[in-house]
Amino acid sequence: MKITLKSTLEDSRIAWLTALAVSIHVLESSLPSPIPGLKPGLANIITITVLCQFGWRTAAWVSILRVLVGSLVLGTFLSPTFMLSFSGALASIFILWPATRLPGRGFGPVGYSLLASIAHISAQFMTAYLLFIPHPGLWRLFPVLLTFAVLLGIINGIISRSLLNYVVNKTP
Amino acid sequence: MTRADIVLLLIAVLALPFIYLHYWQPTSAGTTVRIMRDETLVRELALNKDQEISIDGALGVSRLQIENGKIRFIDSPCTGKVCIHKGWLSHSGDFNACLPNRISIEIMGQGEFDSINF
Amino acid sequence: MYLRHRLLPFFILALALFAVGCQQAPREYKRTLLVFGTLVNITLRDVDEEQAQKSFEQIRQDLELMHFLWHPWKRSPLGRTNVLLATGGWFSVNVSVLPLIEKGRDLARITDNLFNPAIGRLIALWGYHQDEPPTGPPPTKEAIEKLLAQHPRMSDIEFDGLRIRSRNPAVQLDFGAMAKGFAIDRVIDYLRRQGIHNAIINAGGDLKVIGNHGDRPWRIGIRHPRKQGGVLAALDVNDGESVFTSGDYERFYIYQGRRYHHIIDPRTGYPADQTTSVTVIHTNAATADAAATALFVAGPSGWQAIARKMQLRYVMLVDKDGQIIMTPAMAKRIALTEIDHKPIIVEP
Repeated sequence: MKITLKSTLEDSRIAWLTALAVSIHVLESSLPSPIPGLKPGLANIITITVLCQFGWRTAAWVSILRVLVGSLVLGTFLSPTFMLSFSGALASIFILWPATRLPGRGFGPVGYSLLASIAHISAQFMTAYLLFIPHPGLWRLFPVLLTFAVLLGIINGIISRSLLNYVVNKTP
Repeated sequence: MTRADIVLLLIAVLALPFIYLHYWQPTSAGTTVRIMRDETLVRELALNKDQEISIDGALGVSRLQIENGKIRFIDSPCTGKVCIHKGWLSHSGDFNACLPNRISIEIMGQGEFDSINF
Repeated sequence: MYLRHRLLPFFILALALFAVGCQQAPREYKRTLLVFGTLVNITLRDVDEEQAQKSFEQIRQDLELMHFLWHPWKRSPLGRTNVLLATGGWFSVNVSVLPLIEKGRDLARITDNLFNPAIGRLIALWGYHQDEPPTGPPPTKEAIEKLLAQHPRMSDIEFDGLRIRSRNPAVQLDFGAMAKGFAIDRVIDYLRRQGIHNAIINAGGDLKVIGNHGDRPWRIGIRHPRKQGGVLAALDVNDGESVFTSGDYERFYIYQGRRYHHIIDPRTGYPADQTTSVTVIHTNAATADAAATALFVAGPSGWQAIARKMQLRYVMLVDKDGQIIMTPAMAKRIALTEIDHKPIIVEP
């Protein structure tokens, strides 16, 4: 019995965007990190760019799929690392939905990126505390990593913005 | 950058120092000691300042010493001097008392232990 | 309506940010009581303030009452019992004291009388029957041997319903080595009846717990018997467990350079001197209390036989030289923090 899957334009769009995000995610995982758990979060640039260009739904798909596929590729599926990434991705997506509904001009890529970044690190800490390291001392790391999250959130947001400007200018 | 972006950025950056203040409160071995007479709080002192304190109790004056983040009884009007024999306290949740003089001390703070067994 | 719909996501956003940023503040209430001749620390979780205050006050009253009821020589039920035991005749014993006597009898039997609450006279001779510890000098050898020769034992007591009598007029009851545990069991029962699911009660260092600390078990530190202010080991304690430690550093006096502490060996009449401390974990606090005393007296050479008889799984003994000896089950649970030499791990 032949099973045919009809793929829509949205499907293929999500597919190649996810592939792009996964590639960046995998490449990034090979970079050394001074503080454990700290990554520049380059793949988030894709998420935010997708958010601004194609909307929340697409961004949600790309983000979640990126974490799932990325973990399968790296062999970390269902590991603690995966739990942390997944909780972070879920939280960012969850925050971004009401953020897109802000009245008026709302947020730009920088704002979205900053929000997502803060949500991401906060969710990761909560997950780490509840599941892996229930030691109150864990939270002493939070201010430091939050600072990095804010910084990187802004930087990634700016990169997203440039990307979007480039895309807008390139396409007629 | 939209207006919302800038507002968010300002909030985030301004909130950071408060986050540091909140999560970087001094902890570990023990931060403060509560000195009580008959279960009423008489003094609460930080353990990071070396000092000697005199507390009036039912029988007389008990003297306590804080040094290097630890506290002990150095003098007390009781006969058994159990309080003095116990020596230094430093871990949060640890406690000691001069029962005849009705003076008790307890180390407070979010330390590693919920209670100390001895 | 339109405005509310549009701004709703914004409120969700704000709420989500707050929820993510704030930690949950647990409802935990602590109180320190000066009662039962010691400091009693109570920690209650997941209760409201009113219930906590009510519980603290009730516990204070209960402990004050128990301290009086079981006082060995004041004009208390136990004090009067002791007076009547010396007469050798049958009498009705107060119901507030009978459970204590029966439990004491059972524990004395199972510890081969190394825990012996019938040696009240010997304890009084040393001065450890009072709330305030003695200061010396130690009693004479003759005085001690005179009391030893009388062999007061719990087995000298005959039971007939609510009436008892002692065949041996030397029997005087002092439950100092068990009363704290017995009282703690009663307090824990009370807290459970109140529907309190997470609590610690710590009376002078010996403790029992209900439930846990929310997301993790209660975490206990065991003080180092010699290094002042130091912690010997860390331990996670589960629902219903009690941790009791008997040490030579709790009540003692030093006379002419020698230390005389309160744990008297009923066989020699002198403080047991082969041990520094014993820690026992057990679900019955009275048993843990008596066991810690009996094992202390048994010392490094005799503790295993008693531990086997009592079916104790979790025992840690520090001998007079600071050598730590423990059961394998205890070794698995405990995390030693400050040790000079490796512990000996051996089955009881």
